[in-house]
Parts: sequence; structure tokens; C-alpha cells
Amino acid sequence: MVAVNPDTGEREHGTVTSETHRILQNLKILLEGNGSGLHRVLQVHALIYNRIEYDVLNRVYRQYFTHEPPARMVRQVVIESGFKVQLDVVAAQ
Amino acid sequence: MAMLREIVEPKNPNLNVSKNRGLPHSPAVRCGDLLFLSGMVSTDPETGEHKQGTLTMETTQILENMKHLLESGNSSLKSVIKMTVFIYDMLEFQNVNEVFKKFFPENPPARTVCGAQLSFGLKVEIECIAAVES
Repeated sequence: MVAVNPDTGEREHGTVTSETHRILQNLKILLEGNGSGLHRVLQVHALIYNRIEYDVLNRVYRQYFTHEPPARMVRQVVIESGFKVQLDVVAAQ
Repeated sequence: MAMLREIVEPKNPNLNVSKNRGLPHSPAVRCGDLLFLSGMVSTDPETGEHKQGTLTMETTQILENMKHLLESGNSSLKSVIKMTVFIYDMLEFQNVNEVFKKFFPENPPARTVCGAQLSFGLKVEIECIAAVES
């Protein structure tokens, strides 16, 4: 998932902080709408545009996964459309 | 019925990298009969520090630590389903294969290898999904 405004569907480019918040909020909506939730996430592939922002990602990430966080892999990649963060998630129902 | 989601940690506390460094991920998560592991880099099981070296040495260390983590969660290298290997330079691809041949002499898991930018001057990072043995 990349940062998309849930009301307008527009792409929401910003900082690693703002994009990560947006993605995790959307992920929460998506999971909860399907009988799952952030606490049911098993594995996350976190893709960021530059590893220098690893701690910035973690700072936001911690606010959503406060207890028993999922397994994770963080990669530096080039993301489509100039986004800074993309999350790819496996969750249980 | 919702499947059980359970955190799995290595028996050796030095290898519990996420906990020791205060990172927001778990070493492994079990769900039903599947075990999802986080990406692992070469870590010294005696000190818990990063252990940089040649690609062959780092891959060997990671697979040994992965064996330990899998066994801590009632699994083993034999039960690995899918592995993803990230290396600093695809020129070393053949060296990955040589190490894998030693750890997986027969019926190796499905695998993806790709080149990636890694942190701390490390050369390899590996993650996997494994089946839990009953």
C-alpha cells in the first residue's frame, strides 16, 4: 500500500512520517473491515526510498504496533510515482 | 474461527535482535502452522553484535541463527517453504548457492535472491516462511 487519501482517492505524497501514518491508518481501516486488525498482522515488508530514514519509519511504526509487533523486513527501493514508503502486509483474520 | 497469532523468540537471548535494539518488530510470528520470520542479518550468537565478514561467512552465520530461531518455534531448516535472500552485489550470487548447498543438500525451499542496499556494511539479509512441525 502507498499513501492515498481515503476520502478522495488522491495520492498523498509527503514525508516518510506523513506517508507512513496515512498507510497505517488506511491499513487499519482495510483490515478491520475484513474481520482482521493491526494486532492480527503477521509479516510486513516495509519499502522505503532511503535507508537513512529507517529511524523515522520506526518512530511512526511503533505508534501502531505497540505490543507483539509483526515480523518485518525493511528495504531501500525505488517506489512508483515518487512515493517514499510502501507497505506490503500479510495478516490473519 | 480466528487462527492463533503467537510471537516466537529465539532461545538464545543474544539473537533476539529486535528486543535488544528496541526495534518495532518481532523475531518471528506464528499463525496456525506457518511461521513468518523477520529479515535476519549476520549476528554473533555470543555477543549479539553484528558480525560482518565475507558473503560466505555472513550467509553461514545467518543460516545457523535461522536454524536456531526455527527450532525455538518447533520448526527447522527442512520445513522452510520460501526464502528471500538480499545480497549487496549480485556478482556474489554463486557464493550464496555454495552455502545453500551445504545447508540444504536435498529438497531446498523455494527461493528468491536479489541485490539490495543493506545497512551497517553487511552483505546479506535473509527472511523466510516455514511450516511448524507437529
